[in-house]
Amino acid sequence: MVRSVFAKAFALTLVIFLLGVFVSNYFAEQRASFFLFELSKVGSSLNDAKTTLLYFETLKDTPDFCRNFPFFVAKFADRVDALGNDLTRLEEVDAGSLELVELKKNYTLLNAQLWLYLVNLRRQCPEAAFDTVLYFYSNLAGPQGCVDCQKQGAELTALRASRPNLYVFAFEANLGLDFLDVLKKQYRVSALPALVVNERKTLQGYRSGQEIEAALSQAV
Amino acid sequence: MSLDDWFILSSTLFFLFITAVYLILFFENRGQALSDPAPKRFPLVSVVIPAFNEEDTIAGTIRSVLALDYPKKIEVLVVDDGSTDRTAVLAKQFKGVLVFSKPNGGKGSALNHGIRKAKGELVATVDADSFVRPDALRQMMGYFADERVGAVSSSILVHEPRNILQGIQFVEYIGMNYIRKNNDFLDSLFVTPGPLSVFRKSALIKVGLFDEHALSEDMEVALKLLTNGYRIKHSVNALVSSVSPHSFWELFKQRIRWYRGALMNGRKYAFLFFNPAYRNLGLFVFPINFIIFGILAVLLTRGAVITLGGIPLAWDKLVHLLALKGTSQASYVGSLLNPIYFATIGNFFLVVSLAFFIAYFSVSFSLSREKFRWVYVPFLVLYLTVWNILIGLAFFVGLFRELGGVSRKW
Repeated sequence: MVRSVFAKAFALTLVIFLLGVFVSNYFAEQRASFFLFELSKVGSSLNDAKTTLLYFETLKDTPDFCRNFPFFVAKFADRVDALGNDLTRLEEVDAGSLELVELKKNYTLLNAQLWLYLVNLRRQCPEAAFDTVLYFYSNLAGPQGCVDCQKQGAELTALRASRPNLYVFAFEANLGLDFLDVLKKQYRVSALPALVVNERKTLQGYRSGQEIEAALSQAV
Repeated sequence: MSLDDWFILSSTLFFLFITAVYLILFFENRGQALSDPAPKRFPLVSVVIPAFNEEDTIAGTIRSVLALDYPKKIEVLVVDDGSTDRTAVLAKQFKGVLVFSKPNGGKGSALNHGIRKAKGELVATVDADSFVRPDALRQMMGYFADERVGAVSSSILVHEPRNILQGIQFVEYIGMNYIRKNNDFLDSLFVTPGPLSVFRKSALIKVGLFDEHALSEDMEVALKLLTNGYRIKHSVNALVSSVSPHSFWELFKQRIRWYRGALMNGRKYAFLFFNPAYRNLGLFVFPINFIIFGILAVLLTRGAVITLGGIPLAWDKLVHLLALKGTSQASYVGSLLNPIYFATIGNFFLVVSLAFFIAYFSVSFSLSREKFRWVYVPFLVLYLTVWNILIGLAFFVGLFRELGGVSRKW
């Protein structure tokens, strides 16, 4: 009788375990799909904006384009921010999953495209007054990790809240993307955290809000 | 998954498995669980009450023993173990109660003193701070029809819980009664609790009475009986209420003594671990009790590390949230509260564990004939959380004291 009790309890525990694995995998996939969907929505909007910019570059017959750009840019920045929040939550609950690395790469590339779009926009519309900061960080532990990145991230958040025309693009430095390697080489990034201000000045190691403000005013 | 994740997952599955064993065991035996066998005869019972500085409760204990509803005369022996208060004076005021005074030698020695003087075929031991219900002894008698039964344990309730600590102990004791009944089904009930247990005197003499050096003499004597081929049964209807520690320090000291006593017994009866000759006791009940304590101790350390590490992280999140403005803040809150991020394997097992915990206490309450009241909910929540930290900590201290060879006091 007792043996059958142990067998039943074992079977019940096994069923619960398998159910747990199934349910959590199911929701992990749902989370990834949700994130990809959000990513694709922003991606479509960005393509739309890039096409508009291409049209402006090519035909130059839309005089209102440069006047309307802040609205487009702010809208994108908010949506990319929201994606970043979702990515942070994904990192908390699905840490270590291979799918997460791919999602991060997609997010990083989208972020990079938005940055390039802004750079291009600034060239086409010289009256556009905004700043950009490329922020290289790492979530890894150990020698490739970054002790001050969390502090630096908080500093940038506070700065961004006080400067509506500042756009911060955060890049996880160790994702293995060729594009990031090119960027790091171009801006001589060798230590983390690192900040590239308005594509001109590179700051390495933790920087206070005041130091970043000073760099922004110099690298106009 | 990290090593930490594997540890948490395997610990959770281990606890779920044990809870499942006990729930299934209970439901398959629920017919026997709720009733005790009717007694065929009522032998002479000697009630031994060991007492050391119990002037606050001794009179109430004796009164409850004298009020026992038992068809035959009961012999009542109080053993004053060198009290420095009025325990002996108060005990002597009761007619027909034999009071023996001896130099202080510990609970085991006081019990042995009383058992040697006892004339009964059965010996009931009652702590001097416990109060037996009138029908308790009668409920336990039926089990002794089986000659292999060496002892019968009772269901303990906390006497008049008055503060939060006693409230938590109240729900804890109710859970323990359920575990005891299940261990009875497994023929592995390895504690004959001090508040009320009845022993076959011949069995006690055969195994050499109580160990006078043990810190948990009630566990030691039970293990001695079991390893000598006796059975120990549990009566769910034999109720006794016991005064429980009312202050944190008193409780902490009690638990250190319990766990240190358990560790001493673990060492003394190490041959039981995973020994198939002792069936369920050796292969399941005895080892899991020590594994549980080990896991709790590790979980305590881990919990402390995570809590300490989590405080700055939570603070950073709050600072980040407050630094954000407008839509950025709304989207951050949105992602924090999005239900899709709560459907993780950890939370799944948390919900399942909670369901098992509710089932465990529902059955425990019904077994102890205690009506569940909503006022118990906060105690259950504290039992599930803070309590386990205290238990883990007391286990650690007990372990270090035992390993360090600190002198033993009861």
